[in-house]
Amino acid sequence: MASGFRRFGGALRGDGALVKKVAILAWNCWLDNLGSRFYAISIIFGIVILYISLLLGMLAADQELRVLLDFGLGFIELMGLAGAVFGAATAVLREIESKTIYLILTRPVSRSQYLAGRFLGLMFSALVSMLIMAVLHLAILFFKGWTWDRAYLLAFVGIYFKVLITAAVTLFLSLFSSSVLTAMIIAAILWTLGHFLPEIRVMTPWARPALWPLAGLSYVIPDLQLFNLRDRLADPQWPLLAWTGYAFVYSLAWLMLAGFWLRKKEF
Amino acid sequence: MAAEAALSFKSVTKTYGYSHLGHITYSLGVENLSLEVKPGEAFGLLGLNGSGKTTTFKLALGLLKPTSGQVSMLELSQVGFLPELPYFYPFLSPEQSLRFYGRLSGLTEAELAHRVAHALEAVGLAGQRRRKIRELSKGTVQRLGLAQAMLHDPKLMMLDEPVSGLDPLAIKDFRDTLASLNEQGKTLIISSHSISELEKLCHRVGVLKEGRLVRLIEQRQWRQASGGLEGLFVETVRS
Amino acid sequence: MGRFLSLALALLISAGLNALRPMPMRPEAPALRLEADCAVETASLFALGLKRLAADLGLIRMLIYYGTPQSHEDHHRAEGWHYPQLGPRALRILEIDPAFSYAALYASGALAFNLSRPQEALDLLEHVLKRDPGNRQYQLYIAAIGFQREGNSRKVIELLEPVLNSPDCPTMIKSMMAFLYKKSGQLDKAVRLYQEIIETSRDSGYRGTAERMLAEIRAGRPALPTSRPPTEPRPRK
Repeated sequence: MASGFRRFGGALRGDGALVKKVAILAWNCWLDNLGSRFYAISIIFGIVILYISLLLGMLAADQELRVLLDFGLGFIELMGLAGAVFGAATAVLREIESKTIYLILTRPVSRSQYLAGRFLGLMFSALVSMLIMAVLHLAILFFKGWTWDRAYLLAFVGIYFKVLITAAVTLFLSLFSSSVLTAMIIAAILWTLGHFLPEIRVMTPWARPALWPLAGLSYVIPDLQLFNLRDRLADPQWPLLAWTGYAFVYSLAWLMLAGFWLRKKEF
Repeated sequence: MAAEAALSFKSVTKTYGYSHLGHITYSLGVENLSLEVKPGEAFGLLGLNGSGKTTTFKLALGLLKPTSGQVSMLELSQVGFLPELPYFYPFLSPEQSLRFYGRLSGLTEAELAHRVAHALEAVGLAGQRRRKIRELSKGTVQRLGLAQAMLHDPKLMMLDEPVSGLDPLAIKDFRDTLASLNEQGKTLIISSHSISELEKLCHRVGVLKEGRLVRLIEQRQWRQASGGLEGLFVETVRS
Repeated sequence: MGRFLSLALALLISAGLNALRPMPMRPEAPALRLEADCAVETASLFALGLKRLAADLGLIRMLIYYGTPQSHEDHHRAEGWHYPQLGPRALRILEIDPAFSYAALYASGALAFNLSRPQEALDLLEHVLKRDPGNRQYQLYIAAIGFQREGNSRKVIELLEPVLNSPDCPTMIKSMMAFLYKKSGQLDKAVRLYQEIIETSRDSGYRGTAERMLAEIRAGRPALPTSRPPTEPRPRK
């Protein structure tokens, strides 16, 4: 773990070779995703859903724009999440299974660099897919007479941070469990629980011994409702620094753990 | 690590543990392996299936960690590795693949252009540089594997079953290339089932049996033996 | 051992972050009632963090409900009221998304001005006002409904005029106000409001009514009032 921090420090100091290798791996991951059927399907599906949202909007009469906005942002999030979680769950396991990882790890590339590169490539892929859908979504909204609201950008950033956190945890889970399916199922459960944290807190679980495990879990599960600005468009409060810090520190903690797990892994 | 050794094993043991329902089963990879490969040497590893050849390679490259003992090797930047079945990203072409691996090995853009062209030429893939990996035959992929192993001009090359799946002409080309690399001063460590290839290429051969290095055979020994390297190998594994 | 120490460290970091995280909002009330025929769907949307979308779907269902003509038998089964579920449906939408004031304004407007059930409308507005006490529109609607009960159209106009430009103002209210303008002789205001409905409303029923009323005003003939502005019935499958 200490060497992991030293390597991370090297990256922060601008160790060129280290950053360059991470960038090379990230770009390769992006190219890999470009050719992935799942990635293409998630974008196409998202586009189809956005088209279907037009029908729903018509049913809402006066509130057509609101429905288009909510439906579109919701499915941009779900499609972005699906692609990112699938990518995170399969990123390393697939390379181990196919043994393409051998030709990388037998080069002067540390496992942490490898993991960082794969993760950054994955998050870049998620961002691109979400942006494609967002551009189409905005085109539909503007066509229907919507006027730009800064809350949309904040909602999009909030969605991306949720995807970032969930992908980081999924990557760790895939290495911990060595199972794609297990990682994806647990990630889906964490996603759900992460949105219910306010309700869990209201239940005051510490007051009831039977709920103590839930209370403990509530301190570990990422608070995704924090970033759910999509559901608070009417009043998008965003203490930018605090929440951005939360997203990055949380993700980094689980990525470093994933890196540590990968360093111990044998092939 | 001894001052001159390109690769050194000191009493290395690797035991695999498999856990199932709380019960752990152990199986031996290699046991008490001690070996030194000198710089510039062409060293062969010979053994039956499951004798520990691939385990030895993986221990050297850091893909496995020894249960006990010490492994010393040159830095990975000075090592080229050809696995038994090299797997490349199917969406890349040979040229793109070599550029990718070359960058990871620390080659600059200027070096890459020259080295990639040279490596493709050396393995006879210059004409297929732009085809996708998924379209290439097994033998062609094997050649590409050799190209990526020699791309960054390593001092030590580790080759696991390098002629596996190749036709006789390709085998000869491979052998000539490897011999040429050894003449340039590169250390070669070759694991193979093909006794004749090791006879033609290597200065020394180690015989692994059930995870143990049971015999080291020098080139002059098998040249003097009536059965050649094959006879000495059979005699060793059956004893 | 190192792996488990690292896991413990990651869990500690997570717990620390969660303990320190800013809480800008109170959690929504836990007593959420789900409609029986879409409980699974609503719960699923909640699980995916799509509460606003769940509220939107609730609104669409409410509009379809209100837009579906009720039969004579339904009328009797519902203890003499048309659309008995209009108020409860609006309440459930507001429980899911307390900021979705349009649902409350629409339902209360329909109850008070179309269905002549002002008390039900007032009950709905007073309930939602408790969760959103600063909502000026709720307060104005309550006052306007009070005056409507007394038949004081002038006061209703005075109270609801400021909310006509609000993005939450239902077309139904605009249509009603245009009618009140016309009835009270303020034809230029009526014309402007009908034109706005034609240009901006996404409800073809209200647009049709506005076009008809506008034509009649311009032809100099007063239109007979209708008991409820027509909306195209959208029977629910």
